[in-house]
Amino acid sequence: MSKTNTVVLKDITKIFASQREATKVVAVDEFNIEIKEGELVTLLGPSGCGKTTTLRMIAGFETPSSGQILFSGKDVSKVPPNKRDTAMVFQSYGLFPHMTVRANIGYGLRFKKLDKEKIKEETDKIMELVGLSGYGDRNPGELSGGQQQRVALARSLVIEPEVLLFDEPLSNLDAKLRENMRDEIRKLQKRLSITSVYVTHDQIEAMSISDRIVVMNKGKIEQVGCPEEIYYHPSNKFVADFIGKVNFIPGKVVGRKGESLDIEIEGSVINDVASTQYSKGKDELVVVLRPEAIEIKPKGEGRLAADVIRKTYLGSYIEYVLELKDKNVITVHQFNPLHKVSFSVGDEVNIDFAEKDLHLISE
Amino acid sequence: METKSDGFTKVTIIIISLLIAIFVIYPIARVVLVSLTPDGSFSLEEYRYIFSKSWLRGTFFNSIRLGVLVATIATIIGFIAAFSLYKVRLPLRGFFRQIVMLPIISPPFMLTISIILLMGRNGLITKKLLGITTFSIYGLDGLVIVQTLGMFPIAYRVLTGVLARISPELENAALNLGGDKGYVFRTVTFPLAIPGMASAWLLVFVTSVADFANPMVLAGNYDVLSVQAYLQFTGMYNLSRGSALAIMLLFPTLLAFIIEKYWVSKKSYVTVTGKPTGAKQDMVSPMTRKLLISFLVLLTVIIMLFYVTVIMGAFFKLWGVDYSLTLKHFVYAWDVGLESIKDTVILAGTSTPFTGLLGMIIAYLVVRKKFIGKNLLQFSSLLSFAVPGTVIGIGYVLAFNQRPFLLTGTATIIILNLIFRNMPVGIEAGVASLKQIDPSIEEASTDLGASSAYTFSKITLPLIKPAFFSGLSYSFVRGMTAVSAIIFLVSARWNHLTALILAETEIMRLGAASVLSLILIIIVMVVFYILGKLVGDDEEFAGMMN
Repeated sequence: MSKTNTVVLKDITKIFASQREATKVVAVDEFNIEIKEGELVTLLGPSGCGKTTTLRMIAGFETPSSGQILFSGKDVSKVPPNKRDTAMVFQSYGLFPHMTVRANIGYGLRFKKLDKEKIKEETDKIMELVGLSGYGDRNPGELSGGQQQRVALARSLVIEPEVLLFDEPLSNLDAKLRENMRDEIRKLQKRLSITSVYVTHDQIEAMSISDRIVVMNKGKIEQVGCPEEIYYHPSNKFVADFIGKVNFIPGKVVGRKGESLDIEIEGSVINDVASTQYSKGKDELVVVLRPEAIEIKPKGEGRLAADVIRKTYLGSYIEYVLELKDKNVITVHQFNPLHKVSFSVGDEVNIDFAEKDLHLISE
Repeated sequence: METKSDGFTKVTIIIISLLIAIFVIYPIARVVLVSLTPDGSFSLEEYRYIFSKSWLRGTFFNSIRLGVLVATIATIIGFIAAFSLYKVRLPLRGFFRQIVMLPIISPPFMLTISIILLMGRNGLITKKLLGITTFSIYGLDGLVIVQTLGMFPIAYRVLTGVLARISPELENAALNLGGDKGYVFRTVTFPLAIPGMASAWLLVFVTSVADFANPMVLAGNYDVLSVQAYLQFTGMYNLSRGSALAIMLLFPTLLAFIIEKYWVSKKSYVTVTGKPTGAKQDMVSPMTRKLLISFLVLLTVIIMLFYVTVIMGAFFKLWGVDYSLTLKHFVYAWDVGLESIKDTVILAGTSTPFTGLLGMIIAYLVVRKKFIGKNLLQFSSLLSFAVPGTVIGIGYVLAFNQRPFLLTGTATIIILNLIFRNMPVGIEAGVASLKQIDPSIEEASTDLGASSAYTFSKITLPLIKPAFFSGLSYSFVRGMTAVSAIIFLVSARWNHLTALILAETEIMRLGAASVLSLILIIIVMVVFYILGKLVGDDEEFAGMMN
């Protein structure tokens, strides 16, 4: 196959008209993205942000109010779902309860004009791939949640769709299983190199599985980037706050030297902070500092003074909540606490961090 | 969660079991006994006689044939209606949903009055419009039309529940994998609805076979069991033969009921996992949609025609001869019917709260408590659903015409009959809603020190109030429209409106019968409306009334 298998969403907007109150809800607002062949892009955001609606528009279950959807350069906006070369893994799996596992997986192949032998062969192959060999004659109701998830995955993979769609596929599994399935999905997707769109509200899941993440809020894209970019260089407070724990400390630019800035926070000046996206912003800004980038030191040894106001033991790390001099409250994670100096509530301490761990965004 | 029973619960269980034994089991046992002792000693003589005479034997097969035909056609109509109104985007859905439920709240043989007015010897269509006088609506054809029209809502209700529970995500998944709409219907939607259709078929079959009033008036020479049992029992005063025929009637209905309850309903597919999400796709092509709309319009026109006919019948002087307007039927109905109307409202009204409460208590015991004989209690309490009214009616006469239970001729026997016949409505409603309530709510109450009686009245009952009231209104409707058992129990002192309408219909006073039917419907609707207001915006009511 020489398809390029790209997906392009151009100015996609979806407006739902609420019948009762005659109001209109903009579920997706001017959404633009280009997804490359074999890439896995995750739509991440809180519930109601429009991520599922976007996915359903790609599948064809919803029609965009305006804009275009292109598969390999061809406009499919008007193509009905059964004529689109997509396969979706549903949150509720959507397994046909009256069909065996084999019949479920083979369902999509029936429309590919393959003979029975070929269908059986393909089905067997994919069942082996996802670890379901021997389960072909069972009904979905006789399988565990994880196995059902595999059937749903196999059913979508077997038709070798142009685009694979995932609608929060792991949210019905328990934590341990979720991690295993996550890794497996990623492995299969990479191996088969299928262009994929993945919807989730779980940031860990998004980071571990994606080539790129689209962070959405209220129907709009807040930021697009690879997991590291999104985590270390969030473009605004929403993204920073949505992905992981974060401290926001208000600061001020006191000097500019080309690409790097001198910043004042809590009365101390920190020189040569890389400005990244922030070189031309206003003087008032917010410093983003992740809890694991901060080190707690005995009083007098670090950059800023603070008081310990809460301490929680969490196994692999201790979470400290500190109050800085200007009443800013920050969180600090101290990993591998066994071999580190421990502090108690009420202690006066100092905190330290590297300049390059500071990320600047506007207020 | 089921909990062990405390003292209060135990007493309640014993009382309930006694009541069911006396008012459900005992009467049926009496029928069996009387049918087996034609001359005072045990013999199968009566059954041998019935099977030796072809006209008596024929009634059995006639009943079965009628049931099979009606169940099949009603299930098909019910499925198409339910599919159109729950899986397809259509205009006027709310309107259609109300129209198709209309036959459920009418007196059972109102459609019979209509069809005689339309297609009888002096029928509007047959004689007036087409000039045919040789055609006879009396017999199997007429019965099939009337019963199908009156009973397809039963199938519709069952299938509505089934189709609504099929997650749209399944259909979406099938579409997404490349199936076109017709294929998705054939491979997903339809197969998933098959157990529901079996349920619907069996329920309609039971209702059709047990039906008494329609064949009583409309069967002509097509003898069925329910009518023959009544004629033998009250007309010929042949108690043992009437009883034997009643038992032959009980056999197929009970069998169908047991198959439905313990086999078909276990076959149904539950949604495998997860919450159903996503907007509904329109699952039909534009062409199919047009066909479905035409079907619904046709169905609506036919239903409306039958109802409008009864209204017209109430106002026209002499149907088929003199179509001038008059109120004389109202005057006549007032004269002969006022007492019956009062009686009927008193009887139905008195039995309703007892039915509701008893149903709820049994539902509570069955769902939440663990005790010996629970399955038996559950089965016997639903039994009166499956047992044809004819059997129960005969049973009540046989059981309560002597001391210590001398009740024949009283209001009490009718009220008791209504309570125990309609009790399953309350139980079903209660069971369904109790299963929705997290048992931990009740456990919290007990944990904080409340007794089980207190918990039931202060926690459980308020939570199941909507189901309680919906159970109440259905049992009131059933109390108002009951006929097959009641016909054996009415007396000069206590008459029931349905018995009066039936009598008027039989002597072809169709004008008066129409008026009385309308009055009955109006009373039912008013009560429905009031009870609906009491519960607020409950869906059950929204479906029936607006």
